[in-house]
Amino acid sequence: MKQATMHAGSVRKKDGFVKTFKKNFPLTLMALPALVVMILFRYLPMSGLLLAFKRFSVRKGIFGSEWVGLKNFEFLFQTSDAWIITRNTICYNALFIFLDLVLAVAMAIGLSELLNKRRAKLYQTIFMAPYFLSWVVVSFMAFSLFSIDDGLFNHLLAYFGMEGVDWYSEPSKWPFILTFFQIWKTIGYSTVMYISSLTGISNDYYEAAIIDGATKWQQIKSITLPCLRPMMIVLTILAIGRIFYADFGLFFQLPRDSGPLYQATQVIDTYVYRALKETGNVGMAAAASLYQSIVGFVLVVGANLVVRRIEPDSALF
Amino acid sequence: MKYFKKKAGGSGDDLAVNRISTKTNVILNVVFLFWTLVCVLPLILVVIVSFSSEQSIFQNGYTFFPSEWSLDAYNFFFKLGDQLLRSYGITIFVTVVGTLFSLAITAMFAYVLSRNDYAYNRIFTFLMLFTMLFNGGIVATYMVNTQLLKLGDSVGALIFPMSLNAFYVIVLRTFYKGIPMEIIEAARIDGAGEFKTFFSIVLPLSKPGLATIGMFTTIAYWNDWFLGMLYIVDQKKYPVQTLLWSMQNSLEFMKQSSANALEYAEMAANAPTDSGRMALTVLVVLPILLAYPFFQKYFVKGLTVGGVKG
Amino acid sequence: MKNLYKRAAALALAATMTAGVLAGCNGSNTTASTGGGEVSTPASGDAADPASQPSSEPQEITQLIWYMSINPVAADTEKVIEKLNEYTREKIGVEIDYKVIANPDYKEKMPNLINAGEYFDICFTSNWTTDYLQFVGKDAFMDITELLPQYAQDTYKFIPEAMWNAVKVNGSIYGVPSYKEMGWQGGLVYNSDMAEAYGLDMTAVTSLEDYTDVLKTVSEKSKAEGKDVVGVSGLTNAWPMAAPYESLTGTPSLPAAGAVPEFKNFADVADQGVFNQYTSEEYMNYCQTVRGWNQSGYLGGDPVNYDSDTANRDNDFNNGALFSYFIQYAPGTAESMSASSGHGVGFAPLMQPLFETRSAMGGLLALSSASEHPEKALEFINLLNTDEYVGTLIRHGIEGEHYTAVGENQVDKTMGGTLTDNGYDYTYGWQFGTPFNQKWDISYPENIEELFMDYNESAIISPNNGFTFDTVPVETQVAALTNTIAEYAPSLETGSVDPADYIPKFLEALNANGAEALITEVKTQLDAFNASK
Repeated sequence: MKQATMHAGSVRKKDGFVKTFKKNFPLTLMALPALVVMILFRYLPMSGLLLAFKRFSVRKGIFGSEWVGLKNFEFLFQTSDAWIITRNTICYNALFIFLDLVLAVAMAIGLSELLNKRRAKLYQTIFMAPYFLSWVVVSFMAFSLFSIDDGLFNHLLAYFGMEGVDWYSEPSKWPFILTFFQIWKTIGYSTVMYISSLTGISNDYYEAAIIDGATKWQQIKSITLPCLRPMMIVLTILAIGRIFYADFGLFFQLPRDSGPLYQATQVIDTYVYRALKETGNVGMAAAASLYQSIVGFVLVVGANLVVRRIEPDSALF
Repeated sequence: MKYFKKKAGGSGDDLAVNRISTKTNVILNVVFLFWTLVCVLPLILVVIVSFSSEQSIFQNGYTFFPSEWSLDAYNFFFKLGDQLLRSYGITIFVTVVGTLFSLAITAMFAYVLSRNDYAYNRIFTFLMLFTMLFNGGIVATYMVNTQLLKLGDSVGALIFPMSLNAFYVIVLRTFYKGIPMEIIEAARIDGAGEFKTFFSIVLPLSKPGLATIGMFTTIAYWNDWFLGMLYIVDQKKYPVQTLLWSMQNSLEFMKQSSANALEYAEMAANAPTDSGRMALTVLVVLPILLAYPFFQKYFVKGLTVGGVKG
Repeated sequence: MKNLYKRAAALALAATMTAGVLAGCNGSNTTASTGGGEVSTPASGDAADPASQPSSEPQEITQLIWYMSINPVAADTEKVIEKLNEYTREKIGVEIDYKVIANPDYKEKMPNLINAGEYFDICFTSNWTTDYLQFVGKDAFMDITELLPQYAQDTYKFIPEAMWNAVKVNGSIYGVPSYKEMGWQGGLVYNSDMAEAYGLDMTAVTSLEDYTDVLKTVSEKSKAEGKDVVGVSGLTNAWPMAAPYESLTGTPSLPAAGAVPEFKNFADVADQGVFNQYTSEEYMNYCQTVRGWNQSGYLGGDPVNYDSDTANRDNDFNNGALFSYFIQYAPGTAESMSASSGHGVGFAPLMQPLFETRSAMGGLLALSSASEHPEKALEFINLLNTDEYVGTLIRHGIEGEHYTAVGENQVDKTMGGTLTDNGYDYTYGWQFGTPFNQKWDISYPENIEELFMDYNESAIISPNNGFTFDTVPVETQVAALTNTIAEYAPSLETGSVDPADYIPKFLEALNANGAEALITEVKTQLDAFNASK
């Protein structure tokens, strides 16, 4: 593969534009449908980014609306919660990215090693199930666990002679609750991704390892994990790009928008939602989204640079 | 299971070595069984609550053993009759056509981007990734889709806007990168053009990846209610998710304001809101969960094809 | 499907037009294709005198696109609209292209539709969906101040001046408000059978402090019977009812209130003109009262969550597990609630009705600023508000098919069956305009219109009625304050936390997030408003 890369590199430098274009034409043709969709449905609407710097008027449209500089961004920073919002959003997501990576890879390897393959398939299907439940439904079920009067947990605590907990006004409990539900809901999804990567690994490697007398653990360490590496890197970089986006349902529906929990549950998406619920300001919404994008962009470019240094083949671009 | 192991062991020593020990297997199974319970109990609860009577939910909360069973929640949705069928039809059409279209353009694009010898590889990857990080927001997107592309109130509005997902492109690209370049080189030497190489050699080799992305795309199309809510004005053209959400929201809206909705007060009081929410979940989750094994089949197929030597 | 392919082919061509579309979508060329321009002509000439227009003469029919939010969308809508069009074609030369969307969906769709510059003539707007003031601020609606007296004269006269003043923004009217009960009245609906059984005199209840004794009795006597009746719920709405004030921003929870002299409250802060209601003695008293209720167990274990589950609340109320709850009252509510709950229901008002600027914004019909037929649209809105046939048709459907007339003013919609089978029926008839030109359902008292008129006459008009606050200069503060209030207010106002400890924290957070700046801005705008009067 290395050879091919080098070869391509030298081609790129030598040829002129027309020649390069011609040479790459069949592949460009193959990419064309996606490029058209991308331009129409992703890049044309990008003009909406301008709204972050404008006061939107329906009559004047996006380009005609009046410029307001950075005013639309102020509400993100001029709040006494600015620090909490940023801390919560980034810390939760960093934790989720880490746990998701470790647990999904472990689960994928575990499932693929099970002796009974049919059972492994059944597990895999079942682990996907929570992904299909909407956060609204999950929040109602969580309420049946955490409700002060009728919740299962408080019943259990009472059964063991312990004091009931007012779950919806105790912020200290929520980092755990949120993390558990997040992992519970998405782990199946990520696992599938790694399982399908695992199936792509050639048996030759394992056969060779067995001949060398490698134990299962050694095989996992020296074959399986290295083969999963590109996928792990790519998924992690992509997740880092979304580190400043929080899952609204998780942080808003699950805690039932409970005020006393804000210290633990307030993230940028819930803050923006509440802030703009009354005013519906299009420009401020655009500003918030642009802010999230820029943070994500900087982090992705940074992460990609690091990866390119260490393992050029796994870099995104 | 023991029998199975013995048999496998008999067929070749190397394979037996390649297996985990029975002890490890038991431990793994215990862990997975525990997690199965954690995942499956809520789902069962959803089904049971959906069949509970509203009164029983008020009295006992969500429980696996309701005091009274009822079909009210389903009747509420089935009352829609033809509309429900039509909406299922629209959703199935959107899901099938959308997935095929999306998978086709995603697969080709991802392949092109996976080729290190493609001259525009980095710029296109970057452009693609850029769309994942930046978006123009709902106002501009809505303008382009309705005013410029005239997709308002049409099935196109449900298909095209989500047909290209940068995340899937990049994941699929990673799969393709696992295919040894030598295979592609060999095909070229045999005189195969790019298209032929892609369709007859690369695609079959990347079945597990395609199945994964295909499945995620199917789920995404199936689960989507927001595009319908946004772009479809005529309720008759709602996809099923949008229709059910709209029904459920209307019901909750009605209940919330029942104090001022005099004639409706009685109807609202008996309306199945709690069980309805769960019935809605059953109606949308069950079909897609049943479709899951269909995709899983290809994970195994990929296993055998993946072993082909370059 | 064929269309899809055609569209795909046209995409490339379309791409070149982007800039134009994004720059401004209300150009007349856009409307020509969407607005059904072929069948219409600008109607300025022949519409000058709508009432006396000869109907026999063949005339050009104007098509109006009307986006309406109402719940739930009736099955027979098309039939009814066909009937309506027959009538309006004759009467004013108008045909309605009716786009009706259920309330929760409308909330998602309509703002986008307007923002994107989609063509329409009339749309429903309010302060709870597709916000009136917000879209006035975005130039989405047409200034109809001049046109109103000309093309909707009857409606203009029929709706009280206070309402017209309330919907004015910078002196201009951008929508026709729904005229129903004027203002709002807070109070408690209660199970009157239970009140009687426990020997409670509810007419003596005029304030929250009075109510503590009632709750105590309910709790004690119900416990003696082996039941544990929840005394009261709905506390998340209760604070402004306990000490009514004029909300100067249009959002009652934002800290910018004005005192209403008739209520004789807020003595300690009223002299500031515009004040932060959370700093008042009244707020502390209210929070302490409900804190006491919560600690005495009158509110159920978890008042915040109990309040949010209205289905559960209604069920408990009907079954006698809940004694009372706070509501904003409209005439006839208690009567019909007692019919549906299976026990007697009474209403104990905590205040006289208060009419303030925001009260007029429960529902309005506005014209798009891009509408090509504002005159015809107003003539049509005029019919909705004044024509008895149109009013009853759009609310109750077709006589003989969806209802039978009972006497002069009432309808029976069950048609011998149950309500659910009825193909057309709208509870929220006022969303179409006003209930006063619509017949009433038999579940209302026969003298319902009188009850409404009494209510409206007793309403106190707030001192600064007509003042609409422009949030633009303090949007940053409003955004941050909205979050702060959501964090603190619900637990304080349901007695879940200790006010002595929590209110100071709340006030500190309000100040840190710009409460002062908001109040100053309100003062500035209010002074300018009063100067211009």
